[in-house]
Amino acid sequence: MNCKEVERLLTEDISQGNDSRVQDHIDCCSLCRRLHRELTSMSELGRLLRTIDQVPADFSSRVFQKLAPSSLWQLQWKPVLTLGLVMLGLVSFLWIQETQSAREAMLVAEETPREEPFARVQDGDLELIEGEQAESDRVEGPYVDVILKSPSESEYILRLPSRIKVRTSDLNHDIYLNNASY
Amino acid sequence: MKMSEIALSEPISSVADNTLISAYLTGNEYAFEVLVSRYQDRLVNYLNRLIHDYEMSVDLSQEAFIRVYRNANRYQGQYKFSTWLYRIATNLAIDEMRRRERKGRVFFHNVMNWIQGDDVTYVLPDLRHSPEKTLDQTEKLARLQGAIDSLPEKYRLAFMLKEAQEFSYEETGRILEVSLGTVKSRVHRAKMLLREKLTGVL
Repeated sequence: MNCKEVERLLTEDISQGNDSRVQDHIDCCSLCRRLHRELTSMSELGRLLRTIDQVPADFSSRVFQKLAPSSLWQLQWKPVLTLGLVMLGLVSFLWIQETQSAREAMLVAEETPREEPFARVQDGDLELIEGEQAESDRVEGPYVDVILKSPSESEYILRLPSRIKVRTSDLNHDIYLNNASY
Repeated sequence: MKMSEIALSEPISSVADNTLISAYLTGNEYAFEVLVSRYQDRLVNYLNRLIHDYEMSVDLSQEAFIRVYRNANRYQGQYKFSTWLYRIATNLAIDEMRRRERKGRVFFHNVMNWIQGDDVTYVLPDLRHSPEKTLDQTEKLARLQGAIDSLPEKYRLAFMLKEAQEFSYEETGRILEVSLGTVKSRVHRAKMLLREKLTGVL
């Protein structure tokens, strides 16, 4: 057994100094004898590190105090967090759906050609912007159906010859063709 | 029978740690109190030897128990409860030591290390030729503690757990999350460094 092996065995466990092979080496090697003596002394000294002082009497009650206010939350945090995440996911999903629908509606609206005003009421006169040639039992010649919207949102449909002037008190409103009547 | 179904049928002071944890998991809070009282002194002493701040050691020990309380369901019964508790406490101590180092609040013992690096030899007077050759135990202990404090962290922790806390090499490895060979090597290195630093004291 060489010095390196003895050093390894003694540092691993000082009690291995009692092994006969280690003992034989120590007896004839002053360096390892010194190592054995110093490690034994270190081991004895190390025992003093195990001296234990008593902790404050309220140690464990302080642990429970720290746990108490939130212990219910601590025990239940997982289901609460899971539920919260599910709710958040649901709300996000609904919000995304809503936003998507709104965006689609907006796109449809943008794609739908806007109806051009047919007539505009100005200074009490209804001036036709353009008229269409059509057949009608009541009106001879080109005629149009015009929709008048009152401020109370009631609608009035007037079938008129295409070139007329009318008087109205409903000022500054655009008038659109009622396409359904063509 | 599952561990959690084991009933406490014997005096609680002689009940094994694993059984107490199982009892706690089934709602027995008193079982947890027993675990706290079983380890509190030893744990505070261990942390105080590492960070040299008694109040902080008490706080960190309490934090370790709180983490055990909150994560008891993660405890793996095949290992000793004490290794799990000490792993949590050691990690808290490491965080605290590093936090203090970052803040520059190093201990007086470590000032030399801090300035010159980990490999510096802790300077102790050579007492071989001193008239007061025999030091009393208290002074020897203080010198040993100073030398331990001057060790690099990995050697310091391995030495403290193996020698001062009397964990086996396997348990020390589990606490430090390193292999058995690494622990043996660290303890060996720690002892050889201490031997150098404590020339004239041992």
